[in-house]
Amino acid sequence: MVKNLTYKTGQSSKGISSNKINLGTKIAPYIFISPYFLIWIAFTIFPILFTFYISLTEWNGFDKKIFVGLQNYVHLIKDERFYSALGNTLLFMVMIIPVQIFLGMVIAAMLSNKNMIGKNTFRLFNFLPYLTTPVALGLIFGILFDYQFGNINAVLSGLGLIKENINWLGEPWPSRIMISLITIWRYYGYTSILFLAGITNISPELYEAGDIDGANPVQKFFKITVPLLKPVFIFVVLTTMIGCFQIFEEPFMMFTSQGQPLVGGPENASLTGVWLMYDTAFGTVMNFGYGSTIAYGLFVFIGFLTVIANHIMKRGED
Amino acid sequence: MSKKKGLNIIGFVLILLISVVAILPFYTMLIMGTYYTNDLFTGMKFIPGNYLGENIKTLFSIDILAFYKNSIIVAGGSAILTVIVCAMAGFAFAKYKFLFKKTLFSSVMVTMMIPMQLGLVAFVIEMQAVGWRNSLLPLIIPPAASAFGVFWMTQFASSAIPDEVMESARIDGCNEFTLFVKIALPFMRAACMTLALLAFLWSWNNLLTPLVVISNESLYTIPLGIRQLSTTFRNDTAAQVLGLSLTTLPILLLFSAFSKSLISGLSAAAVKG
Repeated sequence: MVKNLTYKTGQSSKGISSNKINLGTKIAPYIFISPYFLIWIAFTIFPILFTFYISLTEWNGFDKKIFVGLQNYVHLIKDERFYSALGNTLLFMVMIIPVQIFLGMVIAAMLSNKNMIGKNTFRLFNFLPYLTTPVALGLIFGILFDYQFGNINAVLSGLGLIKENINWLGEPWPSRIMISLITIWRYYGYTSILFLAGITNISPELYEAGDIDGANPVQKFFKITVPLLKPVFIFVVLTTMIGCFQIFEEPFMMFTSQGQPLVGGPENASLTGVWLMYDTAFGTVMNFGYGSTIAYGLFVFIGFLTVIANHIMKRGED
Repeated sequence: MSKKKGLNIIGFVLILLISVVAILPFYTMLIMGTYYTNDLFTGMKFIPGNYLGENIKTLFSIDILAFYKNSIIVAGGSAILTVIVCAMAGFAFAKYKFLFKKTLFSSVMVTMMIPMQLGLVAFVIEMQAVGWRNSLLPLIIPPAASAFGVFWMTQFASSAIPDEVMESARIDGCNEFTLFVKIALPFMRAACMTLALLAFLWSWNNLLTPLVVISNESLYTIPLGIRQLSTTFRNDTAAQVLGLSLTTLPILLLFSAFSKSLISGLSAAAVKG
């Protein structure tokens, strides 16, 4: 208030400009952040809070809401499909995260090599899968993984790796492996770029020191590169975990776009949290109330896992 | 020395193989769009078929051009808006001291870890209530508050904009808004470019949000429109695949053109992650 006053009454030109600075720098940041926070409150926070209210009701979106208290939650903790979705998500994490990180790191290490030919081209090629429309992935891979005529089975049996064709889309474990492979294929290039960025930032002097000590490239990778990539590593693990929760479009397209729709894949083996929520709230029977409850169940599960993961990785830092 | 060369060759071959695996599904997609649907399921295809013309006809029997137009409006609009909103917020977080800054920034970080889909049910009802259902606005405005975008702009701005330049601009009588537009933005150009590309990509490829908020066919985006081909034309997979090739190609060209600035932009942010 006092400053405001001096600004208005101040006479000397110097006084005005310095007060202007002060006032501007005090208010400006709030103006700069306000569009983000307004949109965030309106379209992220409000829906998340409102979803909690809906989760306490029985509602199909059209008729009157009926308040049912925690009844949906009681139903949720006994819901087998919910546990399948959580279990599948954990299995996807176990299958996806290590492979994706390993591939990403190895490729980043190779692309950071000064002597590598065609670096930029390879970098772009490996980034291509990230650009593909997930809708396309579901469709294309649905054909590639086809039981009788798919290229994948043809190649595997051609190489003598399998005796009988694998029913990727029809059996639980093959379908899980298939979804994991597709997810890895889609994201490893993105991961490798994040790691590449981290590697580029490591001081070349460290590698020179390694050279003087007679370390070979493999030793340098494990003794210098890997430890210094820790921050990127944590970022990648956490975002990949979140990514695993969000798996939806690929299995959704694979199992519902051709022939008989099969929600969740064979024996719900490819059912994911987001898919279960979508199917409950917007599927053939619109159940907004229980769909919201599922969202909150997932919310708690994700929060729990993220905190644990963060804790484990941070502890490793000391 | 020769041992080193040997390792280089192994590396090259390995990355070549991985790249082939990365590209193969793409290539198959382009090829499959030129076949008759029933022929797709009769073994491997590596050379183009002769059904491209028919598939194009099928595609144009739905209003593919309108879907394209909608997708361009949505993706372009949300890319521009995302960059403006996030660059401003990132600049503020990186270059100003203000009350609750730490708390507010933590809220950005936490948001990054929450899958947005969790508020979907209420989001749909909210769109209905504000009259945005069956308009393109829910696909343009809400995504602009990208937590990732803010986080990243903050990282970028804190190292890219020299404090001295800002100070001297202020002494020259520049107000904070001009300072942002004239001084800060040019320094943040690489990050803005990359974020614009990513926001465009996310929006272009998004299926879930349009699926739940748009039911009016004239407002369909491409992924939604292509999906519809499977019901209208009794699973005309080949035409669908062709449509998807046509969906992916513009993105591909866009990213090839900007791949250098994209990757350097991504690098700058990831390092301090």
